Amino acid sequence: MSEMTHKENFLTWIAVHSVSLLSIVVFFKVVYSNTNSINGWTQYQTLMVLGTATLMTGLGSLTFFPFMYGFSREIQRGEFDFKLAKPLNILFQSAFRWVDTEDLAVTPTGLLLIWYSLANLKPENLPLNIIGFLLMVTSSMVILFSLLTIIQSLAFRHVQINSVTDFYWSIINITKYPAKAIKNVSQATLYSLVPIGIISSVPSEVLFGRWEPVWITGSLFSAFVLFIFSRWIFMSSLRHYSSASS
Amino acid sequence: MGFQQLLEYRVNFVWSTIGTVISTIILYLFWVAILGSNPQMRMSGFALGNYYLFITLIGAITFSNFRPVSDDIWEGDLAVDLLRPYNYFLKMFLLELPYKITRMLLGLVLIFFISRFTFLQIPLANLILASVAVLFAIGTRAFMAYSIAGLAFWFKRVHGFDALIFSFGRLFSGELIPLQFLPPALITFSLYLPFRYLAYFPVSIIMDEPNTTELVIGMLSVTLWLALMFIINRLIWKKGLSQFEATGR
Repeated sequence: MSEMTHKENFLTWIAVHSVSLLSIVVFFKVVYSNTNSINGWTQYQTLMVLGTATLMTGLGSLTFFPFMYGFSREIQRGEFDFKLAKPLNILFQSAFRWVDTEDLAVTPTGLLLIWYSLANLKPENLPLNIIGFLLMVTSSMVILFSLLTIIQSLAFRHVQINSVTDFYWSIINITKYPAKAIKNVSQATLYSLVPIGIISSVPSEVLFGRWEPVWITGSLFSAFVLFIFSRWIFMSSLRHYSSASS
Repeated sequence: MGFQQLLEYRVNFVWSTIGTVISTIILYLFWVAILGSNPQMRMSGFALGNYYLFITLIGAITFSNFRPVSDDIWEGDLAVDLLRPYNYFLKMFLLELPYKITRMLLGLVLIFFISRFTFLQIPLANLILASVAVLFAIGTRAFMAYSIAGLAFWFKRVHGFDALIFSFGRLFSGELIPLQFLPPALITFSLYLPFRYLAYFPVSIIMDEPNTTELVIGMLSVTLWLALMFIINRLIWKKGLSQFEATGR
């Protein structure tokens, strides 16, 4: 709430996210003015992916995205010691530091875009699809959280990793594109290198009624394995931490 | 000092570069899929690959970070630099120079290897003109960044302004979509904004697209934008410094 007291900053961020989303919508509208589908993905299916990615960006900002900001600085300045002394899980303390209310506008705009896409797609069995969508979004959020945890663990060894924020935002931005529309270009290699593209595509597919058991199972399994692995990486890296405080 | 920073925090540089490379690859592959679904769109996959390679490279070279400057203002560290016998903007620009040079060298190596396999040829005259356009773009982008940073004299956090301007500008810079695919009205609109001159215009020279008239108008435009951004930056900083206070800890 303290962020919202800086009214001009808060309003600026509402404008930022609206303009940013609008520019990508215009991008897809321009693309689809020249074609009806891209490897089986129609305009509204693609906008659904964009809306889902935007929704997840909003949810991430309200939960664990602030993990990116200031974690390495805490380690540099020795402020991390105070967290270690507290009787609370250290990963939880580090990851869920504060709510980034600057991105409060992102969640409703994502939902608006999803609603707009659904209104045009008119899928059957919508209530069931919504349940499946919520499950897959949760799975995707766990994958994103796990990836961020692995990346942030580097701070224990390399101290200054400010550019990791840019790298992570690059990953988030990739989820706005329907990665499953990219075919015939070393797909297996692509998916092994950038599975992040699947994060928004699979929940979107479930919502508009395309249930693919392999991808759904893969997403859930990946979320589980990555979460366990990321936690292990973080706790192992913690052993390399040496206090910088006086 | 800039090179020292780059070498000490190599991981920083690596992460930043990896992020840019992955984003560019995805955008390029998406466009290959788009072109595959509509053969009437006049751009081969090969030309598209070169386009995204050049636009990413030039975008990375011209990028200027406003955050160190706005942090200096907000935390009061600017006072120390103002007392020293050097130009503050020159110092901040030189600190970024190693990153620009390193990215340029990496890009040139990549272009060299690609040209060996794909027989990519860039006429020398185009290369010289594009280099001049890139230099002007670097200056324009730097003054834009410093102007945005200068808003820190009045606002607590200014990265929202940077994000707002460049979220909007990204559509007209050619980084998201090759400008020739925009509707005619938007193409015309982009001519009156600085964003196309930050990346798209130098790339179009390299790819031998503009005719002589377009080239002259483009070079004049980028020069005018450089001058305009310089003036805006001067005005913001003159006003901001007149009310700047720094207190010790």
